[in-house]
Amino acid sequence: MNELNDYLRKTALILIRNASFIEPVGLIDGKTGIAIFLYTYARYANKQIYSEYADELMDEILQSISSGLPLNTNSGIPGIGIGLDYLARNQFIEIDPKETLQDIDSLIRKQEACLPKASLESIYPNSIAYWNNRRNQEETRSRTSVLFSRLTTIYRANPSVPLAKESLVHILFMLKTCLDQQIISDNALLLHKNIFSTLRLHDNTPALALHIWNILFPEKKIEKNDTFSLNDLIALAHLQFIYNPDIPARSYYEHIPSSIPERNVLLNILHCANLQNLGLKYNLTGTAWFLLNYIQSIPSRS
Amino acid sequence: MKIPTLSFCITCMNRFYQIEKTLKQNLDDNRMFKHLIEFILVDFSFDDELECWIKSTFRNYLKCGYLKYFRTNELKQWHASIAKNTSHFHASNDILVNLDCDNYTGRNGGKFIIQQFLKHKNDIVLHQFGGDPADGSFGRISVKRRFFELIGGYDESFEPMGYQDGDLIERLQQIGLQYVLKSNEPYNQAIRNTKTESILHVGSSRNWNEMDQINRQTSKKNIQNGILRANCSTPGIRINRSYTMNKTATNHE
Repeated sequence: MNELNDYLRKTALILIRNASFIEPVGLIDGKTGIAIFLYTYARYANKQIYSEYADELMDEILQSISSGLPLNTNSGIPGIGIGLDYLARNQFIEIDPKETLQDIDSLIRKQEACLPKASLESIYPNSIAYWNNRRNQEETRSRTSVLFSRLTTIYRANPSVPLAKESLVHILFMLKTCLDQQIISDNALLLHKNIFSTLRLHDNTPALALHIWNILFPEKKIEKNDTFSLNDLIALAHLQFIYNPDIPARSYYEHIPSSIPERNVLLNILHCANLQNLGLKYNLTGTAWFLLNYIQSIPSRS
Repeated sequence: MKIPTLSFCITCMNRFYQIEKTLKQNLDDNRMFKHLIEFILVDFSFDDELECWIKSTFRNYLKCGYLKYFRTNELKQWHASIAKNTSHFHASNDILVNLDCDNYTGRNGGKFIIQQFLKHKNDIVLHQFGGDPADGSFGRISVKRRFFELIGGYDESFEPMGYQDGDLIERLQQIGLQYVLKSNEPYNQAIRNTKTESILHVGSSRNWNEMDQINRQTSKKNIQNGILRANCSTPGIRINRSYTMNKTATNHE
């Protein structure tokens, strides 16, 4: 455990020295995710200095919000909005939802209104995640309905084509939202059934998708022996707060089908850290964010 | 990506009443990034008030090198170019920022400057001038050290005051640097001075406007003749008593 704490501390130090000088501001690729890590680490390590740096990053993030940012959760407005909502909900920051988040609501609506219909469908997974975090059922419903109708058509036309690994994980979260909130019925149920069969029967099922399925739909648990790569662990930690904020963190980390990274792996990540790529999607911060969640999700680990 | 380090270069001659207000604030405001920043203070005062205050108030900052204090009595009368060159040539970081002793950096103002250099790929002369010639911020010029050294710093052949900042900017642009003006209010605050106050201790019979005019003409002529490097000999004053640590003063040349 000392090794893990040492890795977290060293990562936090690298971040406070360098994060203000990177360009990306997004949730997964930039400053928003880094600020979330620093706030969480400050609380975990009981060291206020890290939250002071995170405050500084927050100022930079808020100043950078504009219609020039893309409409995605990785680097754009929906991701920043999800991050702010997460921080406010967990009482890391005090923001006036009427001001900041409503500004983001309007920006997203405006940007969507400027896009052609065909592009909108590719944007929807990102904005659905945002509206779902905002608990705005009306906005979530309208976008999910269009998206699932389209997905079902694709799936019906060629059910043997497995969905790409990344899309699959995102679709699973949206399915959960649909079914929980009874947003749409037929298309979602059909897709749910088809994906269940695919995951259960195919040998090359992505481990992350399977893990997420088991978290989201425990009543239809699929038992398979599989292992996680480091990228899977990092992705798992992102997904935790992009989707379904109501699912307890513990369920994500309780039965991870692999061991946590070993000491030499962690040392190698620290040694090879690229100071331009410090967001949660990259090994350094991504691994730290995973470890922090992993340790915190089950108190006996810390 | 290498993050450039930064030196705030401050000069002070008999203005304890001003630096007493600005220095502590500036040091505190930039403490979060002190691994990247140093403050160079050169004291040209005729009495010991500033030296005593620095030694008693900023012991820790002196010890860690965040503040570097130098004192000299070699400058008998105020000469802006010589004074500024002295502080700039004592700096050891990548970006040199002239910070008059009545100027405030603003909260994390050093970080703001570093961000501008990274954003513009380093080859800039950054001017944090608020727009009002009387607001005291005209001299807030930042440049990479290698370019400052390349043009020989501020022109010491000038009259003691007036246009030394404009001339520096002109020559830096002539060697190819992009002029970037940032008038952001939080980062260019200063205590206002009258022109009469600003020429106290200047040993010249001319008033500020006369000195300014003469310097403008000299600058224009030099630039027209392609003379972009100032000061044939080593600029600034190199004979100082330094207090960079919690040790007693050392004389060095």
